[in-house]
Amino acid sequence: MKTFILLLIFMSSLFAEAKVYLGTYYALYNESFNEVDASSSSDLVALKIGYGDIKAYAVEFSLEYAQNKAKIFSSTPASDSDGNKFGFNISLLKAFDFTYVYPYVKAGFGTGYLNIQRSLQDSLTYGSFQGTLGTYIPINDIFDAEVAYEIRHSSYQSVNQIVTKPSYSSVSNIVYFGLNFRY
Amino acid sequence: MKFYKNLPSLLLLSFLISCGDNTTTSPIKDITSIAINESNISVYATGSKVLTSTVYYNDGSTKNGSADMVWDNNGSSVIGTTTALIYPVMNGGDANVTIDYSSKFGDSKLVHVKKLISINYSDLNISDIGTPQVIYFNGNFENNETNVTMQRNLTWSVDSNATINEVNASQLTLTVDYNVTSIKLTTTLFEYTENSISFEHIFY
Repeated sequence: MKTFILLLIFMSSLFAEAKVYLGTYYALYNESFNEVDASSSSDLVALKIGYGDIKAYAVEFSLEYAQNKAKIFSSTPASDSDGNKFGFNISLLKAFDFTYVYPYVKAGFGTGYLNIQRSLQDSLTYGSFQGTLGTYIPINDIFDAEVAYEIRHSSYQSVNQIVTKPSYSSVSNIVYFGLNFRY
Repeated sequence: MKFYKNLPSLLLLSFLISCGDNTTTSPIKDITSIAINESNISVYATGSKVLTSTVYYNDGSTKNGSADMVWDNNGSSVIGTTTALIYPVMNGGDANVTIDYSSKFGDSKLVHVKKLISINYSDLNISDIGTPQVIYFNGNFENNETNVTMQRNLTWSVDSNATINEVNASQLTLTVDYNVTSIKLTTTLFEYTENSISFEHIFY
């Protein structure tokens, strides 16, 4: 019963002022690998669509694109870095009404792939989960800016070395700046 | 307004994140080649041989990849392959054994099958009826290789005057059943195949 009441409160809160919103953000990230001494620092851009209340709950879907500057998986001498990275994320968000700004916490998971150049593989898929702290900064009734910090754990597909197939994971620190349009 | 007070901290955090290192040389080794280790490979028509293969990496290291490759006889009617085991299917000849991994890495080596010319037997006392007798045998192969133990690809039969009790790589146990003047022993190489060859020996 208690769960049902909480669910009703959550639903009423979600739908009370809920709107569909579109957004975009630019992010800087630093990715450190757990199994090997390797890191990648670059930037990424994303498009997202969400549904929810800027002061309460929301669900977000985002598409990310990053251009790698590091060479961690690729082995061919011709490549200076790993290739492009594409990702898709789903997140749930809880925001708080602080009058002028709306801080939020967000948690989600995602998947994607990274283009690489190895003798037996030309891409690696990955899965991730992430937690975010950020805030919306309303500009007017339909636009708001967004600043956030995210920490993300990613697990990559195994690397095929024939005899062994090691797997790699990483932790990324991400800061991003975004703009949302609500209607 | 608190946000604006914290803006310098956020910008500093962004700066620190964007100033992280970028690895420029992959620390994850990759394959450069694979190879069959043995060279000048030969196998007796009545034998088999286990081969090995190595995976070479761009950091200079190697690993035994024998079990991970696809071994093939390259369409040959001279040898067969089961993983890293090669075995003759014809009495004499040459063939290539190949390894492959995902059609991206491979190697090939020539295999020579040594031809069985004849078989030597120890004596049999055909007047000793009803007593199991051990007959020792070995093979004579091409290039005058003699006294070679024969481990596989052979089947043995005897005429109706005797019974074969047991056979291994170098001896068989035979019992004479009747009082006769001769007993014919037939040894067949690659029986039930198109390359089947029989060797007959008569004991008196």
